[in-house]
Amino acid sequence: MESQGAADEKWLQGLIAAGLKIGISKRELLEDYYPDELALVFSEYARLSAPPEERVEEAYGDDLW
Amino acid sequence: MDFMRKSLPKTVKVCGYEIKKMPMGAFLNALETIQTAPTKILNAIWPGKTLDEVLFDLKHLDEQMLVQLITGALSTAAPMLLSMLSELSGIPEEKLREDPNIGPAGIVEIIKTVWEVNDLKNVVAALGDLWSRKAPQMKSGSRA
Repeated sequence: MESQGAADEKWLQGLIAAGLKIGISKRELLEDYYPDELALVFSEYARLSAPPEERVEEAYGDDLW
Repeated sequence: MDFMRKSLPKTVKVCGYEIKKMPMGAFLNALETIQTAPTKILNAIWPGKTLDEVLFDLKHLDEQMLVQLITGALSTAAPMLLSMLSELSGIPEEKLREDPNIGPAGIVEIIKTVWEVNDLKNVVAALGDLWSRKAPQMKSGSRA
C-alpha cells in the first residue's frame, strides 16, 4: 500500500495521468497549457462528461386516475 | 472575459525583449529553480557555514560586517538572481547582464512584467489553496 506522502510526491505524474485520461498528451500538458487554465479545463471536461441529471417530477396519486 | 484570457497566449515587449506567458512545463521548471535558490544564495554568501552559524553571524552583525555582507551578496548572489530571472523571462543571462537597454531599471521592469504576464499573483494563490487542502490535518487527543 502506497503511503500518502509518496502519493503526494507523485502529484505531477498524477496530473499527467489525469491529462492522458481526457486525451491531453504529456507534451501538450507541459507545452501547450497554461497553469491557470488547466484546472478550468479539467472542471469543464468533468461538467461535460457528467451524466444528465434525472428529472424528477412530483405527482399525486389522484392525478394518475 | 477573464476566463478567456487564461487560455490565450500573451506576450509583452519590455526593453526590446518579448516576455511570453509560460506554459505548464516552463512554469514548473521556474518554480523548482526558485525553490532551490535561497539555499544556493545563502551558500554563496556564507560558503561552508551551517544555517546556525549564519544565524549567529546575523545576530552579531556590526557595521563592518554589514558592508561585507552587502558587497558579498551583490558580487556572489547577483549572478544567481540573473540566472533565475533569465529562466523566468526567457531572456539570455548575458543580455540581462550586458545589454545597455536593460540596466537596473530594466531588470525591475522585467520582473514586474513576468509577474503580470503570468498572472503569478493568482497562480501562487491557487497553488497555495491546493497546498493547504493537501496538507495533513493534525488531530489532538490520544488513541488510548
